[in-house]
Amino acid sequence: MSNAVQDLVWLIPVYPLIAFLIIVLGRWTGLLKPMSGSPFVILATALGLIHTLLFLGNWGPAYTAVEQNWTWLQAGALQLPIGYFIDGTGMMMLLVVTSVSLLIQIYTHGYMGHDPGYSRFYAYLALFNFSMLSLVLSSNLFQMYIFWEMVGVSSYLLIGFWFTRPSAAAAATKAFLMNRVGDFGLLIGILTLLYFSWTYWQGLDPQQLLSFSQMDGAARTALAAAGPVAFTVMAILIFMGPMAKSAQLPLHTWLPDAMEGPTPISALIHAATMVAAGVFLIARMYPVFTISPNAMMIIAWIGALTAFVAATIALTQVDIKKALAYSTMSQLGYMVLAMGLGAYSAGLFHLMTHAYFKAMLFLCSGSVIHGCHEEQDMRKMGGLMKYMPITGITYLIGTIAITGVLPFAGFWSKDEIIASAAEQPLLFMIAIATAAMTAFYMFRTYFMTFHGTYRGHGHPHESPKVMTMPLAILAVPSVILGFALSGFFGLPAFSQYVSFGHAHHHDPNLGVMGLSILVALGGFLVAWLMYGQAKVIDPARIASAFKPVHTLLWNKWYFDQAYGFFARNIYLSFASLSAWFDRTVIDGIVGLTAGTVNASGGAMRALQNGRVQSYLVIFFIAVVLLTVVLMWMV
Amino acid sequence: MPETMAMNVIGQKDMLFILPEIILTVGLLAILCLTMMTHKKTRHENAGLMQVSLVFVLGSLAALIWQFAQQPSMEPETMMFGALRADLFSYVMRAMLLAGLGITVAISHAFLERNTKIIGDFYALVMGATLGGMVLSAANDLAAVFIGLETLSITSYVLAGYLRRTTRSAEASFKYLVYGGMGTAIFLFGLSLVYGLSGSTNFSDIATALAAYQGVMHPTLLLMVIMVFAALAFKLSIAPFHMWAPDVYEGAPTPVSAFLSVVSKTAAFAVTIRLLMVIFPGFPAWAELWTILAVLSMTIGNFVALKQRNVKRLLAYSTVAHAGYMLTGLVVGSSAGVGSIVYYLMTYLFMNLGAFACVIYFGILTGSDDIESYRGMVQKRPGLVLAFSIFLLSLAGIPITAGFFAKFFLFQAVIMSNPAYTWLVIVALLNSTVSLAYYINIIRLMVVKEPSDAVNAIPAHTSTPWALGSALTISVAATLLLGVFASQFLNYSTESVKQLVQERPVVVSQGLKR
Repeated sequence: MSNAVQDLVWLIPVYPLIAFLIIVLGRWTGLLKPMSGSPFVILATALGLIHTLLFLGNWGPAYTAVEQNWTWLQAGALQLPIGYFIDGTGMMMLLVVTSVSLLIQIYTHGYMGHDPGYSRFYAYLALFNFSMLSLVLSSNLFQMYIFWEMVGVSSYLLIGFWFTRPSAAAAATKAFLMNRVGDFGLLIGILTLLYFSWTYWQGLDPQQLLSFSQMDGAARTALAAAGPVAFTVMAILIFMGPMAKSAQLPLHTWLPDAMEGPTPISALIHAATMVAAGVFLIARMYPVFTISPNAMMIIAWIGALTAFVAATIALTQVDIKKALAYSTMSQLGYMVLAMGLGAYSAGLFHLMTHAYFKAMLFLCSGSVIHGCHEEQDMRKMGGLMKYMPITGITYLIGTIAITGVLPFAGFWSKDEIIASAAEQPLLFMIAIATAAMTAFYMFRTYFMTFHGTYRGHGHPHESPKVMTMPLAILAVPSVILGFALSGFFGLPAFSQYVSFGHAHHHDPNLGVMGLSILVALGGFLVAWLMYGQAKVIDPARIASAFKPVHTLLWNKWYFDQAYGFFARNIYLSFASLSAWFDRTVIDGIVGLTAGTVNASGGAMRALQNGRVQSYLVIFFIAVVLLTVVLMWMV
Repeated sequence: MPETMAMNVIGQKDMLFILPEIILTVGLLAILCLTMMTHKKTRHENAGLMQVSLVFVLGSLAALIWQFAQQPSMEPETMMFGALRADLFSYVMRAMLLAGLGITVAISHAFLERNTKIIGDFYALVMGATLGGMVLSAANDLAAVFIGLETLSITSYVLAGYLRRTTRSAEASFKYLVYGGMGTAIFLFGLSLVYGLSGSTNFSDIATALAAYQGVMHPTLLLMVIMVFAALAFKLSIAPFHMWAPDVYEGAPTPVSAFLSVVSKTAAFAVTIRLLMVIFPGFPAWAELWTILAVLSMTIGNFVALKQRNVKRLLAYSTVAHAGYMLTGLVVGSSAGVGSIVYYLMTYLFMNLGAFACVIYFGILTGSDDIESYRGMVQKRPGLVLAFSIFLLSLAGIPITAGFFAKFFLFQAVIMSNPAYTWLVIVALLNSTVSLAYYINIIRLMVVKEPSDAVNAIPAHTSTPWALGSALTISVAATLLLGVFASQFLNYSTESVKQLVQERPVVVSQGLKR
């Protein structure tokens, strides 16, 4: 039994793939009705979860990593393997992805129940699940890159799901393009790593090429071959992948826009799983990063700045999903910061707790949007606790969890990250300031949505059971998960299972704990004074008092404008320049033509204006120039 | 290199080797005769012409595969008095040409039936052009190269002007002819220099004679190489010799653009690779030459494509860019690098022909080649939009499509063969990131809400012609599977080039030896 469970662990991603194929073929042949297909997907995910749990139960006391590889592609001396690799980190990801997916898929049935694209949506969900689980199981970097891109494609499909909305199509395109920028760096990084560590891999079984379990030696070989500077550059290139996928500065602007997708997608992909894949990749490639102190420092700083900048933007957001999106970005910044500081377990612990409570928060926001008749603007909400108590209470639990109040989940994981920054005063201050802001903006959204009086239209109503049940279930880990794996009172510690190198458990830093609870309470207090029942402080006056700051934050630090400027004025100018060079210069050189040609102008006109002659002259000039240049070069 | 051919008669072996060409020639003549016999040009007769053409193309392909299966060891051997060479490379390239021809025939029928009455001649002409390309791929003699190239070129000029009543088609044909004539002239001049320096037209003899010049830098040598390859660069539509391509692709009938962008280009790559690997090994300036051309092609192709509104022009610039990527393999010149080009061509064949097939079908549906007119297409033809999206994503190099694997193996081979060219790979990958912007823009337009008037006018249910449909299905399947099951194809690609490399004194490149 246990052997079968272990040997067939590769089936975990196959279940959703089969569900995907059933829906696609079923719809194609007409055997499946338009509003069906969800049971296959939910069943597949449930099977995946059960398989994961069985695997965990039969794993044995030592939790030794399991690895299996097959040859996939062979290109000369290059053999690309495919396989699975499960260690503590991988198991944690498997648990998170299967359990969160399952709950979200159940929730989706309520949320998308009346959407004409119901089946298509479930098909995409299954495709995403397949890609994500395959990514988690990947035994080597190349395989992970493939699925890394495939989750990107599924995410593209899901963001653009309501493709009839131009804004959704634009957001999907933006997400895809921006991720490509990151993946460009990642691919270059992989290729250079392969080159520098080639001698090392040749000494191994070819089926282990680029495998994570052997990455340690590869990193050392590459460092020796490349030297510290080139190695750091390579590490940063690899880091560009996570930078885009986990929405780190400066490749982050796609994530808020991705909220155009349906809310279950925001919860599943853009909060719990796919965006965390960036952190997971850092974890898998940890041997490479850890031996480059400079790369680690850059990663830590990018994480810290992302956490800070995102938190400041979240302060002024009025769209509930956008506020949560910036919050996600900020929390991902924490995880990356932890990875950069060498706090491997702390970063992944936060990944796990965050996956649960942020998924819950997003699903709550979906329930709210659903109940308020597709309204997302928090200024048109308020007082919803009365109308939708389950959503309200779970949202409050999520808020407390992310704020980091004892004993909820976020406290334990976030606190470990802040404690690990204790030796670097600047980073520590940024982390603490972000924690204060997190408490403020999260309670702000809570008060604006659930307290006061209802300011919207129509009558808000609680969502059906199929939507509130997953919320209630997700509330459980949001409350207890942190404590249960905190390592206190004889409970197991997360780092026992998920660690890099030898497991070590830090003694609790009581000072840091106290400080972080204090700032969280401070943030809560200010939010209560501004947005709670009391309304002692008028937010509008604060905004006008700090006008320049408010404007900066309202415009999200002008990142989009800067990229827009770049795209319009530099990128497209270069395109225009190329087009101009391609056409006009040529005519200009020859000096035979005046004005442009009307394409429909007919053969004779096009010939008379010298276009063809000018092509010929260019041919000659090119030959002569090439000869001269090469004479000079060689 | 000792010459193994000593016979002075054409033997059975030679005939068997050119059996695919013979079948194709018979098919060509049969089509011409059938065209003359069918006066009424009814739908039925026209469809029959297409089916007959397909039968001959597939027959030719079957003969090729049968011949290939006869010789498992695949010892290279010269044929037809040394004019042709039977080696793995010739089989692989000819198979690709025939596959490309088959798809072209299948996807062009619907277009032709709508736009012209004379259909048979088109099939005869594309078969003739492919015949030229096949000779080119197996050529082992300058005369064979020239004959093959001219057969390919002259039929292509006629094809570009196939819709002679439309001025744009005529214009395209004329431009192509003038530019091509220039290319031929320069090519011949280059070949005469080769002959002058080596005293032979046979590849092996030339290689032996030119080996004496290795490492010598002489203006005549340089001029010779540049002239030979400038003419080939024109065929490959590599910047700055690409000027004709956008005009011709836009003006020519779409099936012809498809044919030129794939079959003609594959044949040109075949002869380029053979010349490079056999005649000009280790020539001093070659890496620099290809580096300049590669960077120019990628950058001009991609950035100009960003500004295009006509999908055929856009694909023209896209092919310029793809030629640029492939050149990076020639830069390093290792068998792994050049072998990756062959694999790249295999994937490119299906994804580019597939994309053109979609353009043909959309053109029939909307009557326009403007990207704007595709707006909202998903509401009328979701399956076709999906197929087009797969081709475009493959062209952009997104996993798990074949386009990604082609780029990965190519760039990996470049870095492994000579890490000094890592910067070139960075340029290429940056360029492919740029390219996604214009490919994905087409997808975005196809799926947004407000359909264009042209899309609105499309009837809800018209069946796709079976030939076009099956060609599309094959292309989609190949685009999705050629990457995932790449091993065997990669193996053929690299082995075929390795065989060419063995023919010449080995030039040791830095880094890894394969």
